[in-house]
Amino acid sequence: MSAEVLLFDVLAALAVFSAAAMVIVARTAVAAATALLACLTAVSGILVLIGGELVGVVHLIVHGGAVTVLLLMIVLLVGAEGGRRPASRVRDTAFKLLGCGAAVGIALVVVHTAPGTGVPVSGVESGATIGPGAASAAATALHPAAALHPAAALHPAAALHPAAALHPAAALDTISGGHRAMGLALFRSHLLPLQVLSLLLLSAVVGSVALAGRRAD
Amino acid sequence: MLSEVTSSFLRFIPALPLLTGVLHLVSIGLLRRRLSARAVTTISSAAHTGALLLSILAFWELIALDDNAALVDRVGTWIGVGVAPSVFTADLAFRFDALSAIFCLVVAGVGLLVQVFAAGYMEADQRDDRGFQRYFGYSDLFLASMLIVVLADNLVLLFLGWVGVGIFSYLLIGFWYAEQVSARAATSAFVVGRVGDLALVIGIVLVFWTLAAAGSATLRLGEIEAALQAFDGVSFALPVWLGGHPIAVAVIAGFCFLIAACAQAAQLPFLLWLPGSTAAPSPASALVHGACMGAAGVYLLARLSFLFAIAPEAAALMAWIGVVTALLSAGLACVETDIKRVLAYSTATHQGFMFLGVGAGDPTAAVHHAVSHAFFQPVLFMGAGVVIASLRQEHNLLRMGNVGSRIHLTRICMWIALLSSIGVPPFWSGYFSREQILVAAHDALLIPLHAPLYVLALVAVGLLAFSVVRLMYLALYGETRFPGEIRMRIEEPEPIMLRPMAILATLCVLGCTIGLPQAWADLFPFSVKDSDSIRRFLAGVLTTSAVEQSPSSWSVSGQVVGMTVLGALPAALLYVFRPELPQKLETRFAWLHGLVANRFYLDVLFERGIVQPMLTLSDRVLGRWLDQRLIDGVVVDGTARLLQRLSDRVLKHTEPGTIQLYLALMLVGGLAMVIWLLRAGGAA
Amino acid sequence: MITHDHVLALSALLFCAGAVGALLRRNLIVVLMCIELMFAAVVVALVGFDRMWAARAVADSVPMEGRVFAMIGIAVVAAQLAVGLAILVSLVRNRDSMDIEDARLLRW
Repeated sequence: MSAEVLLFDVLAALAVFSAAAMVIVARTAVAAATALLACLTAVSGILVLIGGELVGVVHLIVHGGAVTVLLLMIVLLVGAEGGRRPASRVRDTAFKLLGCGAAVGIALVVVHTAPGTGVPVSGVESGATIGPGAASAAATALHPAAALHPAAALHPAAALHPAAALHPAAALDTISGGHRAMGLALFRSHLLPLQVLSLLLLSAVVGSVALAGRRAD
Repeated sequence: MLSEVTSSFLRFIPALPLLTGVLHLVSIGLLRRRLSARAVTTISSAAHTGALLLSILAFWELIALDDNAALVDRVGTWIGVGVAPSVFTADLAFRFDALSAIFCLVVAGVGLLVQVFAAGYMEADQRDDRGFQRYFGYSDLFLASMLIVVLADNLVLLFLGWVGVGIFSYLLIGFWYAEQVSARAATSAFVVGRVGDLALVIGIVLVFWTLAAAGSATLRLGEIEAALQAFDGVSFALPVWLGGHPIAVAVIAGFCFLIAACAQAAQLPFLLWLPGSTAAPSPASALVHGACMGAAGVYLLARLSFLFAIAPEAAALMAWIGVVTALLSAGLACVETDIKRVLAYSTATHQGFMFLGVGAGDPTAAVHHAVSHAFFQPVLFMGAGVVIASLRQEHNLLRMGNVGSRIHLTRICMWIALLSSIGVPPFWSGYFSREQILVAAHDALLIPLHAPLYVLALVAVGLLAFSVVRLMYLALYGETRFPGEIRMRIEEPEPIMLRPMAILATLCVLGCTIGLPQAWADLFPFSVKDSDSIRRFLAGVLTTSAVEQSPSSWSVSGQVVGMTVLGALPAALLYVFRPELPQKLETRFAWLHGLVANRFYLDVLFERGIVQPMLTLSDRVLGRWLDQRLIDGVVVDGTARLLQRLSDRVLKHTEPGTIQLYLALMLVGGLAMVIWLLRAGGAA
Repeated sequence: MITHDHVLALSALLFCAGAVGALLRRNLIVVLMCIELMFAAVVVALVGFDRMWAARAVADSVPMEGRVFAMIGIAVVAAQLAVGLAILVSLVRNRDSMDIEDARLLRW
């Protein structure tokens, strides 16, 4: 068990446990927010670990930081009581449990049908940390999901770093953790969505102010 | 098979008046900008002159060709459906053969003259500010439709023109739409016309089916006749409760075309829209009744004379309808007091004679009579219009009298037209055509009861003479029966109105030369060879099934002349020399007068027999039961009530307002979507 | 070694935890937090899938698609949370309750 796997296991356990704590244990909103903070931080760490460095950092800043702080401020603003009423009706509860089942179902279906079973996550610093390349390549070739990776099936040796051989952006990706490639993708090929996104954020700001601001009366 | 020669200018004959008509209507309807009267008249008469010149040119080309030839102008495919071999095409194509030539010349020529007359007449009679141009818009389009009818190369295009004639006659009859009488008359004319349209469509479809079943799917006029043997032995069986006898398809199609022509030419079942239609402006009456609409019916029948030759039952019915209509409407004309209605009835009488001619198997005579009729009847309508306008819209004959002494020239024209109309031999065009019709009727041994048919036709001749002479004397002679101060203002109409009347009156005289029977021509001191030119001209196009005309038709001639005199003289006697006698006779024979004055109670019959049951059916069954209960009550309200209950009892519970339930439902939906998407992706 | 199974399993667990919380907790703010948690699960899954399909994405000349999507998602959820919290504030102000069962204006 390498250090990375160890780190992944620790962070995953932290995320799952703090999520469970938030959902089940936390009695007050402040406790829940604290658990959420822990969970989101762990998730950011995992994101960095599996190769989404920039995503992980941004996630940490925006959600682990700003959003959690915002939530706490709202708790301070409006008070945290509530949710202490008598239990809701049986039928409603049945419905909610049905929804829970559906959520679990979605998760199971996605996990079950995802073609990546048993395939190591590539793109972490170097192939050596994940394991012997030959073994990985053999696993890739044997696995039915390899049919979906034509490139991987054709170049077993390149399966770990297919991008390096094929695309300059991908080469940058492996070299510098993907920041440059990410920047190019965001500001070149996805420039229009990005601009639309900024408009969305602006309208969200305006909308929040309009909704939460006190009326003159 | 007729030989066909391509000619590229035929399309402009209907296109010119069509363009100007559209131009007028666009100008007043869309642009809201009225052209000056002078511009309107110039444009319209230029278009009609162009159409007439082109017709003459085409005529010139036609007579240079062989007999039986036709000019054809194929603009393009209008309707093309199906795949070979069961393909149907209707071309936008025009055909100019002998029959079309005659009608085209008449319609274009008389149309031009009437339009010129209307330019003067409508100028003086504008009741609203857009009336002048509106009139010319309608009448140009009417004439264009009429030209399409007579020039159409196939029955579908003919139908297009036919419907156009119906629509624009409706608009012309209801020209003064603000007056309730006009509006009602227009509506009834329109409704009757649609019955005819339906019959025409059925007839066309029957012809097409029969021909298509025989492998020659065509509706081209020239090809239908060539493929006529397709009708041999094809028949429908009547339903068992009607006896189960088979009826030949040709007969059924013949009936359909006959009904269509009856509706257009105001023959018997449809006679009654005619009197109301005189609400149109007088030039429109001259155009619609004098020259065109009835002529369209007669044209259709003459065009399909080959069909009626193999459908003797339909032909016989046509002859009888013609005679009975002629008789009834001539009788009605004898007691009618509205001057234009008298003329309208006499139109129906003449068209009855034309039907008789086609039905008796001599379509040439009918066509000839249609031509004569198109010469003299417009003059009478125009003259009546002059009289009416000078008496400030007075229509009642009993409040006229002695108008003629102020309008000599009009009176002369009307006399010429009148003599032509009642058929005074030898030099008035109306005489010979009608004589030939009666000869055909006399010899039509195939028609059941042909002897009484002929006798009734003779009676109609007499009644017609009586009624028209009566109109003449009541309107133009005798004592003055209207306020004296109006009398001083009666003036001869403007030359622009007088000249068309004079030209048409001249044509009434000269018109006899186109169809002078050889028996008469032989009477001349100088020798005339082949005098009956219209018969020779049409010989290749029309199918004459009448017994070959006997050289000595003199007995028929004598009887016709005798009946004319018998009708005309009493009228002169009664209304000129003993003006008090009609009153006495009226009281003496009150029952007869009442019968006729009430239009033989046909109105009542129609009202009680058809209109009232229809109204009751519409109101009680269709309106209250079907529409209000079934459609409104069950379908509309019922659906609404069902949805309301469904929402109230069931659907609203899916909106509990609880956010978490929505979230639960959303997740269930998401699960379904994920499963479906992944399954679809896996399958692909 | 870290396989995709691990990443996806983590994502599924977080998603389920968030969904259960959002469905069963009655404090409005906690519900919002649970939604936040569900979203974090989605981000993890997106990045995981991005790695999983990297070869194919490069072959199709659309590298980093999944991560870009995750970035955009982060921003969208931030906006959504801001609006959601604003709605919550005005709701609490008007109804004086944080209980989700009291927020049923959509009821018939």
